[in-house]
Amino acid sequence: MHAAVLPATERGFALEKLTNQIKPETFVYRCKYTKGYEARFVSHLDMVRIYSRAARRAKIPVFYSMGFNPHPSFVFGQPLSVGVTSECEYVDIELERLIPADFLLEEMNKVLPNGIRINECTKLEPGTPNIMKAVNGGVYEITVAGELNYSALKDTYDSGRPLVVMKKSKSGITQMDVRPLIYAFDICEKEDNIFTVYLETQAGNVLNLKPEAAFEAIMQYTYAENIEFQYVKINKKGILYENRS
Amino acid sequence: MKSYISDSILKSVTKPARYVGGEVNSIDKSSELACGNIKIRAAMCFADIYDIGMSHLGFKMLYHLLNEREDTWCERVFAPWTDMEAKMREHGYKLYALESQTPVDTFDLMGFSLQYEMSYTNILNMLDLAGIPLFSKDRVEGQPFIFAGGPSANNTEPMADFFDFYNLGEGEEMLNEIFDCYAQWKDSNLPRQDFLKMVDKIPGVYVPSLHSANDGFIVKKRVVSDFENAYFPKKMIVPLCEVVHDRVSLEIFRGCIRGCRFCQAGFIYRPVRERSIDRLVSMAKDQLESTGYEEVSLLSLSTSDYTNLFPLADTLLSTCEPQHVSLALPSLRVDNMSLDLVKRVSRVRKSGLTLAPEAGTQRLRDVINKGVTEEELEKAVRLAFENGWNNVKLYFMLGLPTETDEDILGIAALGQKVLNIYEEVHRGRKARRPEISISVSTFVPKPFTPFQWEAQDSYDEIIRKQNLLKNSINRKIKFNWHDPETSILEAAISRGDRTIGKVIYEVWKNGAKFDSWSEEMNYSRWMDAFEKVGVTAGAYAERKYEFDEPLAWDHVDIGVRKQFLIEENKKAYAEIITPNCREKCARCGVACYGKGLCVGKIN
Repeated sequence: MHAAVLPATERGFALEKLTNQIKPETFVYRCKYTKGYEARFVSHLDMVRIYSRAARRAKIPVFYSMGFNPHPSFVFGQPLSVGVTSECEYVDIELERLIPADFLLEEMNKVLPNGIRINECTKLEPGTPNIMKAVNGGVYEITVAGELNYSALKDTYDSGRPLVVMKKSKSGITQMDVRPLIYAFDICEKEDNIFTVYLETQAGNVLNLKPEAAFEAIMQYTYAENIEFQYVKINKKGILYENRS
Repeated sequence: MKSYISDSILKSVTKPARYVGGEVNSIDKSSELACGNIKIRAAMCFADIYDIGMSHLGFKMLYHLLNEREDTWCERVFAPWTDMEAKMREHGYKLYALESQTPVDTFDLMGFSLQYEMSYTNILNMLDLAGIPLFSKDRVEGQPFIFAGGPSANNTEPMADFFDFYNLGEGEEMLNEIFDCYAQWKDSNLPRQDFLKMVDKIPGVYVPSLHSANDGFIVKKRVVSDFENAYFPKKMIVPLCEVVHDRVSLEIFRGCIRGCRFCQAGFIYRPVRERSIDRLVSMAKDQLESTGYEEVSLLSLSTSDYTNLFPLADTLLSTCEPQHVSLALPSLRVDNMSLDLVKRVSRVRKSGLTLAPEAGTQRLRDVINKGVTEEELEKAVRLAFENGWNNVKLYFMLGLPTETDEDILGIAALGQKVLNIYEEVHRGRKARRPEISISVSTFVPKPFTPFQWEAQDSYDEIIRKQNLLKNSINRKIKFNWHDPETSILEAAISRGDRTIGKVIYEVWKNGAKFDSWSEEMNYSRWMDAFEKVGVTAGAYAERKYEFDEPLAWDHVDIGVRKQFLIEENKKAYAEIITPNCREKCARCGVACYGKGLCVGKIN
């Protein structure tokens, strides 16, 4: 039959041999990496693909999950919004073989695209909870341009009043007080009408607040009408862990 | 590289990663440029969005080929999607190149890859967004030369007023000759017009402004001297965001041994030449090493026609498997051997099986020279069902020359037969519901095919035939069809002359772009443009051309003789099939290149 397209393969290796096997011993490495300016528009899903391809270029022996649709074993931290840069992204990489952590870092950095760079790599002890489970919040520095009154914004936050916003969810639009999800807020004027905002917000699987949403909630309770402003830059500076005091 | 477009705009558009460059293996020659070592700034342009252009092997290959030149920095340019274009125009941004993030209006050369006629309005839109005059005659010293290649470029005429020159046929060697010529001209300080005279002398190059229709000048398409060893980059660019086809593509052969009489690709890419297994495996290894892709796909017009397909697949699998890389085998003929192979490479998902009988009766399949019989079809479908497939897609064309209602009803009957075979195979057993679909497209007469003289059905006739088929297909079969508008425009443009160029200009002026995207295409806008120019689409599409009347593309020689196409056309009406190139040489004329299967040198 001419021009017949038969199924494209998913993973072309000998699955039959694998499917009945017990999972072999694997080794998990935690990498802390920067997502810089050049990579700011890389989405979370793109990042998974970028790491898996980089590992193949670097010949890193990544462990592939068993079963009918094997996939490389990467666990990424909380997704970043597109356009946001970060100095503290995390990925746990599971390997088939033990290799020196420095080697993993160096070989990956040779092949990762501009803007993505691993800064630290450590081998985890077996049983360490994965990165998604350990994280509780994010620290952000935002540069905002607009005619804003920074002390009024600060007052709104310091007053301790509830910050109830409309939230879209599966069950429709609901109201939600985001104040408990904001751990810290500060703002100062860098130059004329350019402000630097410092924010700590909750991150996690259950409750998650994007820094833009936090800032916009504070804006909403400071100004009666919409004020025009632009995000010049949003940079994640650090993460907060579960066990912080 | 600092982005040319502000972040606040980039954040407001869909998929901003399309617009900032910085991909793995992209070429940054900004330091060479700063040192004054770059003589030629060039752009490979694709008249569609990033996601489509970056899926195109030829486009990426030629990008790397030009960047091998020390005197050249070749960058990439794609059409911004409508949301981005609106923002760019609103804020005064010009069309720019991804690598340097600088506007292209001062570049030396811009080459467009013409893959389909419906992208022509995008070309005008891109030039306009770049601030470059659309018409070749209006461009002056200091502005880029705009040229084009690719399959649709073979009819040079519809876009002849816009392009400075065309390069016809395979570009691997010709592009370097063009760039050498440009470097020489740039050193000479001669006027703009002199470059056009110089480049016109390169075989395969056609400068429309130097020739008028049927002045006796013939341009012959180029074929690379050695396909086996033709340039292929060791390091291929890898997009950061998801694009349509994102994998290693191995071009296993060029040309096609089948001479389906409607198929332009089957004629323009002749002669048939294969790459050896050794060369392909070494290419695959280089590609995997430099890209990290998780899939290798074989690229050709018909995978099964590669001479040593099974040894090739075995060797590739042994390279791929240890790296967790999968192998994709598109356009495979269905038989025992190929099903075994498919089972071996994909133990995972039984995705659909696609068959393209193209016509519903044996008579019409003989007319179009689709070398497939009813028994072969039945056998293939039975085999697939016995091997666990339940999803079969059947592709057909409506409006083929000599088609009668009986042929159309034959499509429904064939669908029914496939359904019956499924029930037969699973008789007495519990089976999944079969998912059988029939998709029909509309025949488009294309230049350089035996059907280039044929009439396309009228709009109403196409609709009538679609309804006839829709009403005769078993409801258990899913029926897919397209509105005829795009096919009519394709026929009119692909057989178009310079007058069609005026229509394209008019319709662009009225806002047409992304006409290959059905949600963006506006047929009445096109009809208005035809009317304004004073011609009808029907005069180009619906008319049956005479064998002895001059055709707009007569000055382009693809190696296949016109007389051969006439003979093939007559054989179609006599319902006589032509054996494939491997069985018996049909003497189409392309042996004049002295290459490939024609002269017994497959590699």
